[in-house]
Order: sequence, then structure tokens, then C-alpha cells
Amino acid sequence: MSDFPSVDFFRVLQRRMNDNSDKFRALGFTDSRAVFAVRADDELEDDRYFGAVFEVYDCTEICELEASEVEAYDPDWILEADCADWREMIANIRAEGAADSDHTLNRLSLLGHPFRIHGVDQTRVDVFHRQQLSYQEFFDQAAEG
Amino acid sequence: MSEKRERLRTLEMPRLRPRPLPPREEVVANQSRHFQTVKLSRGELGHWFHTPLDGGEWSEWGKRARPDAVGMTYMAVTEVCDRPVPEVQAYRRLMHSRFVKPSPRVPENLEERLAPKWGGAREIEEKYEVWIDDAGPLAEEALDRQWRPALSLRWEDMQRLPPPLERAFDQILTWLLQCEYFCSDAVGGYVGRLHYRFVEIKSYLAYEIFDYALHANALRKRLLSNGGGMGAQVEGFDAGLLEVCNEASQGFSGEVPRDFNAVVLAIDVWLNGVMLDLLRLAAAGARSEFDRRLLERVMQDCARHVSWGCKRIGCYLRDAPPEREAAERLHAVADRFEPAQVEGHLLNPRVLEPLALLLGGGPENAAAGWSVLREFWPQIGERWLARLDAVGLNRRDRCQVPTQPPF
Amino acid sequence: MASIPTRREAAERYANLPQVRRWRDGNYEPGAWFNSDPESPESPWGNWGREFKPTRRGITTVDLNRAFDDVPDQGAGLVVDRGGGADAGATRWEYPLNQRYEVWAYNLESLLEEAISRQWSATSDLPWDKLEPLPDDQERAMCQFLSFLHPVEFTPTDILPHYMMRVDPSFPEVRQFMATQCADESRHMEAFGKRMFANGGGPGIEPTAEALLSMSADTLSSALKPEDHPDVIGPTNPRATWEFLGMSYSVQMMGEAVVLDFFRFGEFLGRNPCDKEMFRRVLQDEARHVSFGTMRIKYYLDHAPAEERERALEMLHYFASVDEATASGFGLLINPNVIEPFALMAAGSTGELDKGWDMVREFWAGCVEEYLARCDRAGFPRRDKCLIPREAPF
Ligand SMILES: [Fe+2]
Ligand SMILES: [Fe+2]
Repeated sequence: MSDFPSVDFFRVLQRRMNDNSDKFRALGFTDSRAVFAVRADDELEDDRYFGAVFEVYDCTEICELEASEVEAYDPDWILEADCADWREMIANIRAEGAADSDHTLNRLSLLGHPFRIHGVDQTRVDVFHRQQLSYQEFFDQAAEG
Repeated sequence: MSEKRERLRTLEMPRLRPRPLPPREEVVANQSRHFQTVKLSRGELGHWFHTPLDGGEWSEWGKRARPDAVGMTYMAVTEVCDRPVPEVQAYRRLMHSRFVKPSPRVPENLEERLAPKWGGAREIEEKYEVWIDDAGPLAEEALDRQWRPALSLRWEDMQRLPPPLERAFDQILTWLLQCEYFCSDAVGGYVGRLHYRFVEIKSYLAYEIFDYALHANALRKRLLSNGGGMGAQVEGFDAGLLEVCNEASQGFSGEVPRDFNAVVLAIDVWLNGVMLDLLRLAAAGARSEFDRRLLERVMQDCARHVSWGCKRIGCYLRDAPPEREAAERLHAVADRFEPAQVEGHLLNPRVLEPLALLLGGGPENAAAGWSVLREFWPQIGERWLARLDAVGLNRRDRCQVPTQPPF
Repeated sequence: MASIPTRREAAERYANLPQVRRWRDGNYEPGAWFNSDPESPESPWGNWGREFKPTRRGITTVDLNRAFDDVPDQGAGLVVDRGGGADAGATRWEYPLNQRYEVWAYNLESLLEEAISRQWSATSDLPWDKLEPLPDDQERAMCQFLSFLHPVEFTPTDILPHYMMRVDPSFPEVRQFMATQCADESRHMEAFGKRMFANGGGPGIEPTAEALLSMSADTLSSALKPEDHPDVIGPTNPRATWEFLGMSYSVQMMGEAVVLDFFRFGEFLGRNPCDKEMFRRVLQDEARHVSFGTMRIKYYLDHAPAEERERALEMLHYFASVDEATASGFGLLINPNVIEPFALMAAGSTGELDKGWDMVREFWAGCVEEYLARCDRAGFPRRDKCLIPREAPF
């Protein structure tokens, strides 16, 4: 999985989301600033951070951040895991066409491991739950193509 | 504002006074001693896992409903369900699934503490007071026809109107908004008073309340975005209905029966019927497709509310025991509100004048609008009577809504 | 009770109404609603010249309120929506909830729009055809859990309209948000009720009655009998007459937060796309209800007059103590008819129950932590007062 983690990987998801606005329209508005944190492990040398902004039915921004920039990016929620766990989720989505029962965002993050969903303000983290179908669909776009 | 004047009477909302609590250590100790904690600590599975699937406390093991053409409807479920209709005598519970057998481990003498008759979902527990024959399909339709404004309203198609027409249209929407809130307030209090074995009806009413809010939300947006604004409050549109609803609920206080069906007659059959008729007029006078579509959406929902009301009243008349004197009670309710409604609502200048302006196409052509109104006006009473005929309440020689317009 | 006029009397009365006489005479001059200058203070008209260009979201309450900034501190006491006008002598009603700080919530407008845009249907938005047969013990556990959720989910809808009708119509957003919650809960009840019959399981045993009977007296000790606290003992006392603030805490911020975590756990445990999707859908809605409750309490505490704020805080802490220790906090988390099925689902089979219990304990700690984080955020920290144990007591 050479394309992950990279800005390009997230840009592909972004493009597919924006091309599929009917699908996302049916799920409802989105409104959040997110950070996807990929932790260094055997497969990755240094932590990587990617910022994303979701507005209405679009992902309007994808960028890579330095660790020192994350706080200033002011994310509502941060989804964080080791690189291998991210890769396993993505591989599963690609193999199954969408996340299977063991690889949904909620399941992966519920107990705080292997993924962790967090932020400075619980009520802003709650936006992740409130709009979860859209964020799941965003990652499920990894399957296409 | 020294005298407190609540519109729809409800229970007092008292200020609560904190009272002393036991020390934390004591609570924690009690919690760890609690029989459920002790039980969970054993790590074993309890009664729910061991009761026989057949003949025990479990119900209907092995049932597999299959979705029909629409999806997993109530109808698909009742196909396989042993108890599709709540025939059984009401059980003494406030929050309970009718498909679940009441626990034999709750002693009878404690049931009343668990679920007192007054103040909650046992107040209205007779089937004849609540149920209708097609409860499942009704709840399904309410859901299926719910509009999703993000998909069904195209705000960018909204068109500017000449100011006099915008003003007339806004006045009608302002009236409609008031009706939406009034309906929601009048019906809302009953949801929590209906017994839980009528889940389809509770469900339906929740959707009805949602419809009113969705309308109010969309109407407010339309009013504030097209060059006009909120119009003038219509006083008297709820004349007679307010009194009937307050009498029926008795403020939801005290241990007295509430008359749910009086409210259904007043709000769903009458008021929604009037809204439906006047909206047809407004839609006929609407100058842009967007405006017409918006009203048509609201009309469709009003028509559903009317149809629920008619079914409910029909079943009530058919199923209520004779000593209830259902027909006479309903007549008495209608006797109360009809004259007040004609005067305060059907002849209200803030309702009729804007309609006439819209129908005539502008102030210079008001006479044409008034002649449409004159022609249409008797239909309001006629349709009301026709609906009542259909459900078995003949009011033709009693009705106070004139068959000819007095203007 | 006023006497009812005869038909003839009524007809005469109608015919003699001044406006009717005018119309009969062919005088169609509309009244002040039309003829007054809408901008003049004497006009019964509300506001005029309001324009808004739709964005990609269409027109939203968020944008409108940002553009017009017209939410008052005190309701107008009319029956018309905010901004509507009235005659000088119009009746002013005293709605019990007529101060903005009593009803408003941070983010209220976006929560409302989100609620409207994220409505769904239990009948047709779930992939019912993708249900898969589960091992008997797993289906049994799932259905026991659903038997609990089926009626419980509807309970906020029993309560919310009671408050909706007391809110001054100057705050339509508040009324409308509560109405969306009514629809949400109805849909949740519907989804769970249908699921019980869809995969071979069927309804389980009665889940809450015994727990409710035992809870308050047992955990709060003899020092606190339900009859001493008639206003707060929740489901065992249906006559509970909460204040609106207390309801937002008890129902939305505490009870529904625990239920939100149940749903997240349900999604975690779901073994097929239908169960997964069902819990994902309901948890979205539930998170919205919890946000409303939390942000409403925060708004109240930030804006209430100092004295009232002190009183409210005292009451909230009292409420929180009682709720944490009884039915909607601790009680929900130790109801064996709910928690045991969880453990079994988490275990995957009866042989692995220990593993399941470990997971339930992990879940417990996370659930309490999130609740405490919300209390911090709402402005009444409970970390040194909380009566739900941080770690599962079993
Ligand atoms: Fe819910
Ligand atoms: Fe909820």
C-alpha cells in the first residue's frame, strides 16, 4: 500500500466524495474540521497528520500538517491510529467494496484502540458521531477504482 | 403581565428544591452491594438466557419477517407476528413493548407503583380510544411521505413577486405558521398519555408533530428570504378550538379522564381540513412554481392528518361502548367550536383578504378574487360534513357552518 | 360554558360582522395588515424587506439567524413566529419558558438543520435484505438488548411535547428541534421493534420493570426514599414534573448519553451490514440529542442571572447525583437484561464469556469518561462528585 499515508490518498477520497454529491446529499450535511493522525510504527518512520475540512456535501480541503500545526488547525475531532491499523482498514475497504463489520469507524474507535477518536472538546468530538454515515462513506470511497 | 395566562393549559412546572443526599461512600457501598451488581460479578447469564424459547418468557422465537416492496414495513412484520393488533387488556406498565410478556416476577401489588394510572402512559389505555384499523399502513405512509427539504425543495428556484403579492402570500404563510404551532401544541401532550401497546399510533403522532415542525421551519425560511417578511398575527383563528382542547386535557393535571378524541376531531378533522382547503386556494393563487410546490407539500401532509383523524373518529364511533355516548360527546364538541371558528377563522379578514388578493392577482383585481372565494367558501363546510358522514357522525341538521357565504 | 347559538342566531351574527358587511357591500379594501407601512411602528405587520440568497445548503436557519441576528432575550408573548407583528392591543401570553437563556442552546441552529437533513426511514433506509442468520445465542442476546431498547427509545417523545408547548414562539428553533427529536425516537423504536422480528429471534423477557422497582431505594440508601424526592425519581415516578433544565440533563445529557454509548457498542458488536447500519443511523441521531442537552445546559449556565444560575447549578448537581446513582446512570449500566447480552455479544460465544466481560468493563470506563467530559464542557464539572463508579463494579 504505497499510497498510504499520503496527501494523494486523501485527495482521491476528496475527489470521489465531491463527484458523488448525490450519495452524500442523501446522508445529510457535513460540517467539521478533522485531523487524521497516522502514528509511526514498524511500517512508518514518523507520525504523519492530514487535515480535512468537510462542508455541506463536499470535502473542501485536504492538507498535510506538521505535528506542531495540528492544534492551530483547530480540528473538531482527531481520528488516530498506527499506520498498520490504518492500512488494514483501507485494505479491508478495498477488498470488500466498503468497510466490513470489523472495520467500521465506530467499531475501530469504540474502545480507544486500535483507533482513537478524540479532541479538545467532547461536544465537538460528538460531531463525528452525529455525522458518522458521511465520514464512513468518505473512507468507503477508497474502494472505488 | 402579572396575571399568568397560559394558552394551552398544562401542569405546573415547579421549581425543584434539592434535598439532602447520603454521603458518597454510602452510595458507592450500596452500589457494590446491589443485587444486580452482585449478579453481574458472578459473570453468569441470567433468566433471559435460560427461559425456554417456547412456553417460557421468550416470545415468538424463529419469526423472520421479509421486507416487502417498500422495505421492512409494519405490515411485513405483522405478517409473521402472533399479536399484530393489541387486543389484550392493558397491562400495568408505562414503558413496555406489547410484544414482550410482562414479567411474572413483578408482584401485582407493586405494579401500581411501577405504573400509576394517572400522570403517564396509562391514562388513555382503552383500545377504542386510540387504535385504528390500519395503524401500520398509516404510520408507514407518514414516514414514507415525509419530505426531506434538502432533496425536495429547490430554494434557488424561488422567484421574486411584486410587493403586494409577496405581502399577501406572506400573510397567508404567517397564518399557516400559527396553525402549525397550534396543532402541534394541542396534539403533543397526548403522545405521552397513550398506552405503549399502541406503538404504531404513538409513532404516527410523533411523525405528525414532526410534520408541523418541518412545515414551520420551511415556512419561516420562505417568509424571510424573498423580499417580504413575517406578517401580522391572526387573532381568533383558534377560537373555540383552544377552549375545546383545554377542556379535553384538563391541563393534563388531576386524576380525570382526558378526551383524546375531542382533540382529534377539533385538530385533525376540522383544523387540518380547513388548512387543507385554504391551502388549495393559496396554491391556486401562488405566482411561482416554487411557492406552489411548497404549499402542495404542506397540503399533502394536512390531508394525511385529516385522514388519520377521520379513521380515528370512525373507529371510536364504531368501537366505543354505548355508555360512552361517543357520538353525543363529539357533537357537543363540534357544537362548541363551529360558530367560533366560522366567526374567528373562516371570516377572519387576515385570512380571507390575502387569499382574495392572491386569487385576483393583485389589489386592483380584488373583486375577481372575492368571487372565487365566494364560490369556494361553502365547500369548506360541505367537506367537513361529508367527512363526518363518511365516518358515521351525521351533523347535517346540527352544523353551524353556513352553506352559503354570508359575504 | 357559553350557550350555543341556534343556527339562525349564528347566521345573523355572521352576517352582521363589520367586515362581512363591508365585503357584502363590495368594499374590498384590505385592512392594516396590507395598507399600513410595514416599517412603521404602528403597523401590525412584522418585518419587511428580508432577502436571502440560497447557498448550496439551500436556506438554513444558521444562515438566516446569522444574517438577521434577531433572537431576543425575552419572548414577545404572541402566538406568531418570531418577527411577526401584532395589533397594539393584542393579547400577550405568558409562556412559562419565555427567556432566551431558559431555552436556547449553543449551536442550536446547526443541530436543527442537521436533524432535518439527516432524517431517515427505518422501513427503507436499512439494508434489511443483508441480515444474516446469527448463531442462536447471538441472536438471542441481540433480541434481548432490542427488547430493552424498543420501548425505552420512545420515552423522550412522551416528555418533549410537554415542554415544546411552553416555549414562547419567539424561539421557534427550540420547538422545532424538539419535534425532530420526537420523530427520531419514534423511528428508533420502530427500527428496533422491526429488527426483533426480522432475523429469527423475537422479543425477549421484560427488561426493566424489576430493575426500576429496585433501583432508587437500593442504591441511595434508606436515607433517600423515592417518596421523599417525588420530582426526580424518573421512570419509577411517572408524575415527575421536571423543570426543562432538569429534563435536558436527565433525559438528554445523561440517559441518552448512556444510550448513545450502547448504540456505539451495538454497532461495534453488529455482525452484519443491516445491524451495523441500524446502530450507525440511530447513534447519529442520539449524538445530536446529547449535544442539544449539553449545549443547552451550557447556554443556560453562561447566561442565566447570577442568582438563578447558582440555584440551577445546585439543582443540576442534585439531579446528577440522583440520576447517576439510580435509574438513568448506574441503573442502566448494571441492568443484567441489557449488560449480559452485551457481554455475550462481545464474547462471540458462551465459551468466551470472560473475554466479553473484559470488553464490557472497558466500555464502562469509556462511557463514564465521556459523560464527565460533557459535564466539564457544560459547565458543571462532576469529576469529584460523580456517583457512577469510574470502573465497572463487577
Ligand atoms: Fe433514540
Ligand atoms: Fe434520543
